Amino acid sequence: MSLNRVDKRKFTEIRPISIEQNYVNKDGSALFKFGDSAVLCSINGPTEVKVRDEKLDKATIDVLFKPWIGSPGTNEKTHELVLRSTLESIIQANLHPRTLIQVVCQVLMDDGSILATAINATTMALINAGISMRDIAVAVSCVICKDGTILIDPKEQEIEENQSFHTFAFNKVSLNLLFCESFGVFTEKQYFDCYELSKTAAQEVINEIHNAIKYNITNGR
Amino acid sequence: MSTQTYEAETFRKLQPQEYLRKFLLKEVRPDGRELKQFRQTTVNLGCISTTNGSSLVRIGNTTVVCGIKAEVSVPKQTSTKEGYLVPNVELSPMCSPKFKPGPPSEHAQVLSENINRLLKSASILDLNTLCIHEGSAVWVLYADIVCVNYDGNVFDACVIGLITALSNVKLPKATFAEEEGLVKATEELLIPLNLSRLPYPATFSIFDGQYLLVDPTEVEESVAHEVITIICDEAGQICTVWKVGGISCTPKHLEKCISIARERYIEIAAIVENEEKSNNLI
Repeated sequence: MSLNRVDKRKFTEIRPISIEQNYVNKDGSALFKFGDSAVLCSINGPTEVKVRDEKLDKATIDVLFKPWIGSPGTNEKTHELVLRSTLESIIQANLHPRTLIQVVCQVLMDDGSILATAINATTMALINAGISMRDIAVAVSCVICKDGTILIDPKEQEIEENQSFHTFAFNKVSLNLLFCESFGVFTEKQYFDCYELSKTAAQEVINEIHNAIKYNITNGR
Repeated sequence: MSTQTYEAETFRKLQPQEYLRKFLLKEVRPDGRELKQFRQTTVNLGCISTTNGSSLVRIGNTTVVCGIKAEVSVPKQTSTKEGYLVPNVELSPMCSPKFKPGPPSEHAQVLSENINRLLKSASILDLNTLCIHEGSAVWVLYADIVCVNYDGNVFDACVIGLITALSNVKLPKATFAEEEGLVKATEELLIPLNLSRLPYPATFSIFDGQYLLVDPTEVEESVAHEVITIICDEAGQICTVWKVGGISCTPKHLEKCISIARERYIEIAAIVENEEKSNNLI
């Protein structure tokens, strides 16, 4: 049964995660990989903000999402909105009024579940930048195949032939739903099955993040 | 009395969140609705006679017009039988001072993208049915959705507008003359589209992590950043779940939203059916 996936993973298994912080010389940065999907995120800020975007009581959060190939389109704009609204609910923006926190996500390799990878990369970069946060966000994608099986953290090949595609982001403290994007045709039960499986997988991502931070601290990075 | 209304208005402008909170403590919304009550929704089909299909949707003060125009085009090399369906949402300065003239704002792009994803992922229209002659000519349907008045919950209005306009589309009977390389079409518009499902949406906002507001207005949207949109079809299946902002959403909230979205589906379907009936009488 476990041989049914292209890379011989179990249905509910996430791909190997690799996390590298301080990747580029910015205020904070991180490279996050879900198998072959890789997103590099760099943070600038809190820095000076344009008068037009200035908010009197909190920091302005600006997100740029750069695709792997081609120029950004409506898909990338949607990712930007998702990342920004997710970050606005976890960053303590009120600590830095009248400043700008700029987040740049560059896709280095796209092998499916790219939005989830980007959310996790951003979380790691924010931790690296030392921006105060209430909580951290972790994201996992899944697909429901035509025969009803749920595959966690799908590769591009698995996304192409599916019934529906879901991306969930949870916060670490209460594991409530931060963000959800589900498209396709599915039943209520299938949706909540995906929800629970993604939540379990998100816990694994949190553990990996823990290990990465521990490793960085013990090695004095 | 007049000074009192003035004070409430000042209070609303200075403390919009506190203003809304005061209403919600009494289980009522600033516009007199209950928490679970949608605004009055109307659908007007075939309002633009120069299009192949059109509809005008009103949800309270939010007004959206959708017009669908069919043109002939060459199919892609990789999919020689597939036509095109191109949705585009326009939020002009006319509908709200929030929007500036120029290239489409982020909000408009996100609306277009989500509508496009809904169309594709739920395969509402089989693009193969838009084929006139394989490899030479296909229909391309431009669905232009224009927001005329912006008062919150524009996504719902756009989706209802698009779906009803699509079901209103009538295409001419077209044939491809191979020798001349021309498409010949009849004057009359006869052939309706064959839609595989008719999904309708419902949008919710969560305010303060506890109040679930159905069908938020612009004022409510500006203070309640946690937004959930559910789109269901006639069989009760879900086509889209979209949730952004905030950290207080639990499966309980989602279950409640899904059940309300199903009730809302029946409501919209009835409104559309009534409109179709009265349209056929004329």
